[in-house]
Amino acid sequence: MDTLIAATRMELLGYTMSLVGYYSSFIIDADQLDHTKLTTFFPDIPPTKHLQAIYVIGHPRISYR
Amino acid sequence: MNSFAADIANPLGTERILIPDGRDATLMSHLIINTNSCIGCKRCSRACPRNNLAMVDGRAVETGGYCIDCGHCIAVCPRDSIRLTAYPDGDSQIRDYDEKQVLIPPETLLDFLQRRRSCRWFTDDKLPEETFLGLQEAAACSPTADNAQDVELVVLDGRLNDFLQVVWDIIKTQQDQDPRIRQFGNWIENPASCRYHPLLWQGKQVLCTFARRADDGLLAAGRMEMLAYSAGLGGFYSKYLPLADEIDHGKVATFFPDLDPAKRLQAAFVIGQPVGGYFRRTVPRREPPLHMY
Repeated sequence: MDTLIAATRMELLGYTMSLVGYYSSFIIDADQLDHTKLTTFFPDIPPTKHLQAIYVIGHPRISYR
Repeated sequence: MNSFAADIANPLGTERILIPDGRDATLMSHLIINTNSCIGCKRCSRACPRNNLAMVDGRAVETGGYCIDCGHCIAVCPRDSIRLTAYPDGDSQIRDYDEKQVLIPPETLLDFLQRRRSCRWFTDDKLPEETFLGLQEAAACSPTADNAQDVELVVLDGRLNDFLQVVWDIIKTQQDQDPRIRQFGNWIENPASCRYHPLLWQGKQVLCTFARRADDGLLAAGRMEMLAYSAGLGGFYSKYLPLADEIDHGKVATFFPDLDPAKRLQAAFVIGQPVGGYFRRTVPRREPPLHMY
């Protein structure tokens, strides 16, 4: 819960800076399927913390009307 | 008949349109493409995240690329030539806007976020149904995995105390580990023994978000929360109601027979009209560590 509330705020602040993106569900699913394997990739992060949100972010190429 | 429907006498006509792999584009079912107005600019096919659009003979056709009805093709089309079959009455929700117009400068939003406080002290006035219908619109704008849009909302109001009894029956097993749960038990036995409600403080209504996935439910809840704050309302997220669902989802689901039992209680936002006038300044916060990989 804590993570996704923070993620929403960052996402919306990103939009106000003209940055856009989308949430990837598959990388979160990877954490759910094998958290231990995923945490070995992030040795600086306490393994008790789960990957709760993944936001693919960047400058938009397409303009919406 | 709306203007779009009036303009397409026969969207794809009786003529068969074959996409490069030989399949018949006229048999695809997610999009209605006005081939009279389509200019074949390819913006829709470039925007489509599922590769569901291609140009054949200078006009857009569906390819059967697992469309999730996201509507990006509608949003980018310079001629307003596309509709989704999933939304036959959706025209009223489609409106043009200027993407370059800055609605909220980042510094304004950041200031808004820095001023936000979890609010636990409320007036006696309950929020009317119209307020929740307004918040529902914010949830409808929220992203969901594969555009499932399967979030459901519940306002706990008249039956809030009944539900809290269910919550107590479930979380009382953890009262030794959490003093707040113990206080809640005291309140259940004798409400007069507590200065305020251990889970609700002065809250009288709870906006609950149900979804299959936690991320879908919480992204919607976050949008409703921020819209509520912008409207001068206040509230806080309760961790105990979702905890009850986590411990015994079956029991929680029984309380809500109208909801799909596959959907979990992902967020519970205690909401109300705040007792105003006592937040005067921002407070220090720890910045979360930022790792670059």
